[in-house]
Amino acid sequence: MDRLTKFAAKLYPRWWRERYGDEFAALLEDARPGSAGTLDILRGAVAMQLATISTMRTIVIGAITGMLVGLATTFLMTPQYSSSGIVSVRAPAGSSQADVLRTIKTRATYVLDRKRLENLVFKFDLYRDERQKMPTKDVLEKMRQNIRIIAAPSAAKALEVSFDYPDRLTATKVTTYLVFSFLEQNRRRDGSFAVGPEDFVFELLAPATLPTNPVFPNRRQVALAGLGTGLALGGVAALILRRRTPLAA
Amino acid sequence: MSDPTLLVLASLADGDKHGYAMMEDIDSFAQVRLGPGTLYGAITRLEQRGWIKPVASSNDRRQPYRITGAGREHLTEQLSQLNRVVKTGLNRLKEA
Repeated sequence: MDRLTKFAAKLYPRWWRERYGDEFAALLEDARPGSAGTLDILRGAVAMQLATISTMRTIVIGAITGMLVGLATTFLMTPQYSSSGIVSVRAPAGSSQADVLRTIKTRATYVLDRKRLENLVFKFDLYRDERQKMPTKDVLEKMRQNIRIIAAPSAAKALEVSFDYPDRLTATKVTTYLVFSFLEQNRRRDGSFAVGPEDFVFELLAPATLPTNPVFPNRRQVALAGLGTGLALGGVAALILRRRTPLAA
Repeated sequence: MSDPTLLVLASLADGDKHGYAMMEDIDSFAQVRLGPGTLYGAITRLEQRGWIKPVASSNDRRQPYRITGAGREHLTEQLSQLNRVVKTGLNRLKEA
């Protein structure tokens, strides 16, 4: 009896091997099955497992399989790392909320300017594959979608600037560049720095972070989703198997 | 006819046999070579339904099986049904 045949015979459920194992081994010694016989044993083992598997075990196997498939899928996806930095906004005394918003909008427009972003793309060699497939206009649109400028949740009168990219170091470099683009405009037209009480001053509150875990795919979420799906599918499989008469032909 | 349970019952109809003897017997009367997995799947089902039972043997590894009364009844019923189908089919072929 070759190794593969022995292995296939071990795949039968334990109760079955305890009851029929010895006589089955004797049959295999007499019959000396070839590759077709080994396949037949494999098929028989799977059929016997399915015919006698318990509901709970079916559900548990379904859940574990779902979780593993989910986790395996995340390793096939391109990860996205998110780096973020915080810029605080100091407004001159007496300025209204509208003035603050207008200034922020002006500076954001400057930061997201087409020419500046295009320079960034070439400076850091961003979106190499996309640049081969789509026009620069679309690449820049994609980049804009990966940049977020929002009110910082952790500090008052502050902006959080973040950038998502498959490479975490590049994400940090670009975010640093974007953050400093906000600060750059503290300089007046004559070259002097606008830091007086009458000026809008943007200051660095927190430098760009170096992300350790990707924001996409979220492995925990995907694994949980896989677990849930596996549980549901395992339940359905258990119901189908329960409807069949045990060991039906 | 390729239903393995029916082939096993038919093989045991003329006396007790162990697995390999059934395999050879079925091959000779039905020209069907049952694989080991298929044969023992059928044996397991037939024993659970009470249609065959293991019998004591001097060689404890090569376990012979015997058809039970219920197994004989089931086999008779199945073969009669099959016989009707065969007869009808042959008659219709003649008439056509």
